[in-house]
Amino acid sequence: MLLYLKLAWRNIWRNKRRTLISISSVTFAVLLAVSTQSLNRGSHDHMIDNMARFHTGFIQVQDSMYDDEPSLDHAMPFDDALAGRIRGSDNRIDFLIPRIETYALVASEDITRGGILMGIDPEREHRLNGVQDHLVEGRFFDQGDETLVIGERFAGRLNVSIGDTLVLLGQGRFGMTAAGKYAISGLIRHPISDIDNQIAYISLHDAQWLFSAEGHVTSLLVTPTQVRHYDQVAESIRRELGHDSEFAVLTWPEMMPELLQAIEFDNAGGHVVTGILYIVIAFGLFGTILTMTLERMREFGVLLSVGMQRVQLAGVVFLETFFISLLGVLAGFVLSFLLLIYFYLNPVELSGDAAGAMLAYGFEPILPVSLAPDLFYSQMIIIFLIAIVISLYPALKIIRLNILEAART
Amino acid sequence: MSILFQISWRNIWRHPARSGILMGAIIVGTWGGILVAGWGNGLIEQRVDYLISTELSHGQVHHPEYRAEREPWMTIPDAESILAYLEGDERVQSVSPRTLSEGMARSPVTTSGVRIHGVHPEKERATTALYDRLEKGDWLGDEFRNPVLIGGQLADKLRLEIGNRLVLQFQDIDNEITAGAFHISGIFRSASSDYDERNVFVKSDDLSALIAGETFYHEIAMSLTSSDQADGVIADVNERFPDVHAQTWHELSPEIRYIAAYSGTLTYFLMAIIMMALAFGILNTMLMAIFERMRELGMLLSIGMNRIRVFAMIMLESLMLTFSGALAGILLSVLTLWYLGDRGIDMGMFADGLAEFGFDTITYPFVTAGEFFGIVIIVIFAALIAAVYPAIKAFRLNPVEASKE
Repeated sequence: MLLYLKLAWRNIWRNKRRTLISISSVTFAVLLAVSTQSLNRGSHDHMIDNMARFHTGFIQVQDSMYDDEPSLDHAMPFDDALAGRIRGSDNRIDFLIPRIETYALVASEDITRGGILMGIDPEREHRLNGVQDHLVEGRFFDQGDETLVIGERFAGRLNVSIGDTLVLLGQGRFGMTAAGKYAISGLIRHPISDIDNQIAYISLHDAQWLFSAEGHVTSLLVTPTQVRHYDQVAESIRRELGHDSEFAVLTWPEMMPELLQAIEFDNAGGHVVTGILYIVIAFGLFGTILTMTLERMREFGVLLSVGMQRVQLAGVVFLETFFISLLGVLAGFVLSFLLLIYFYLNPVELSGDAAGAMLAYGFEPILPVSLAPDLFYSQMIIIFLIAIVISLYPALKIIRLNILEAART
Repeated sequence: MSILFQISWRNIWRHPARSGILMGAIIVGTWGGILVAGWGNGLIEQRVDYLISTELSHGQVHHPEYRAEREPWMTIPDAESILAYLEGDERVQSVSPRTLSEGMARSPVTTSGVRIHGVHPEKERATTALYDRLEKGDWLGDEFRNPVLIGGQLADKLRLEIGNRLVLQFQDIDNEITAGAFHISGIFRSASSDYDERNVFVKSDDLSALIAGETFYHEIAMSLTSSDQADGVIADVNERFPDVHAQTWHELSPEIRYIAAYSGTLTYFLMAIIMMALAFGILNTMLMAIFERMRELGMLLSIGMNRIRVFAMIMLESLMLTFSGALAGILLSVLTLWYLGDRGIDMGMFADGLAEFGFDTITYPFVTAGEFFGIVIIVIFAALIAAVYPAIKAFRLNPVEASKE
């Protein structure tokens, strides 16, 4: 066996040029397959990231009744002890964002409108979605300074501007009346116009006081250090809080099923594209391997004539193609890793209609790539298998070779 | 020159296996490229068509402030003449006037916030695909008093069945809370469970009687003979009826544009990758073929064929191979598209989850003439670039060394 390995290894370096061409075929195949998957996955991750940051976050801890009946009566108590327990449940947790989210009537001097009222901690919120960058005028409040920030379009509907005072009217916990006067300290342009039409932010402290919900939040957003670990992190939190406790831990697919649908749909299309790519790759590889076989007919014929057994020769040639595939796949891994690292750090910037539409939606107009490790090894394995199947061709050819004709070519 | 042609043509057929595989690569590349483009188009159109046919229709007319405020009194002034005008426009296939209300649906079990659409049964059926999405029961008919269609998701949440009573609570025109009892005549299921939970459909006469005691409309949705005409029709409505605000489907839902443009860009990049795979496959095969033929080429040079001719011969071989391959690839993809464009491809094969979501899993790929020629040109270009390098290699051959190999 060792002899065959040695023979095969020496054979492939006997004709360096030919070997390098074959290896580069495999390398390039891996590079392209990984890039395709990486582009696909990257754009989905980008979409999820944007959506989650502006809507629900990646993981939410809530009172177990809140999802069915989103009312302040089902707010959950939140203090440093609970924050410590959640933070300690998994070391992949980056930071926590407490929110009070409810509806309230927002009244200016002569207009009253229903709005979404968010009690937030502006610093932590900013870490999640850069909310302060969307400020068009004024500033964000400090905790408890009794001012608010509202959507630009919402301000237009209420016919108010910075410095004006708004009255918030709503229902606090357990039927308490909530009413308060707040001066407008800033205007924000929320990227999603539907929300911009009806959003008002006050400090978490003010919201808790207004709605008689001291020490409570309606939801606690948990941001993992790596977005893709959301499932494991959520599971750790569930374990820490107890599965049947008064808390529910929700992840983004549960909170935004539509988005998951859209991605599943896209993925189905991606499979077809990948399938076609594999076919094209297989043909390219087959072309190289076939030409190589044709070129070596004379050599094979001579070897068989001098007494080498067909099975031995087929085995050696198969080993050669095995080495070539292996080297190609490894080189492909290194090359695609370098290329994707580059595009990960310098993503392709979109232009034209796609970019305009994305900007209007508040998303960064880039074509991001993903560096998830499973992308690399799954594509490496698939291309390696394709290469191995194709490598059976020369071996089969040798088994059926007509010695006399081969020696003459 | 003609002798070069002959030599090249014969060279191609002297090695049927090698030429066959090269041609195969070009055929597969052309076919794959066209198919991927067609697939992308099919997917985008399917998504857009879905939203147009179930949720948006091609265009909608509202009171200028209705979409922001949704107050019951923001009705369409002089709806009758707008309807008459639209029905007289030959670009318009059908129109559906609607009375809308934001309210609550109440069953003995629980309460849920819903948007109530009061529709004209025949006109709604002609305008949107809601009727096709009925899962159980019947369309809004005369069997029950105050019939209502609800989504499967809402029916599950409220634990209601066909024939059950459902109380709808909403604001009347004076902002007083009012309510009415409705009977479930049908249950629909669309691709979006969220939509199914938040929307119910009743007869507009029943709803407007409860809101104001007379018939009026908040929304006119229209279905056109082709979506390209949306801009024209909507502009005409806005010009003729300055008191209302008409919007096209892409103004109503800018997300569609975003999704379509983004998927389009992504498809374009994937295409580029497939084309690179094709070009590289061809390049490597050609290169191998040249090395295999070193001896032959060296011989040709030694017996006096000049270098330019050798170069031309190899380029001609590549050209002929490429053109015949591209031609066969086009034929193959026309046949494939013709077959699939008619029957569609069932994506359920690739993702089990899709059917559960209620998506139409069948996609119908299609390619526009421009894309078609674009891809063919890219393929030919890729193949030629791939042929130049080996031809240059041959051009630089040292005849003495080459014939020794």
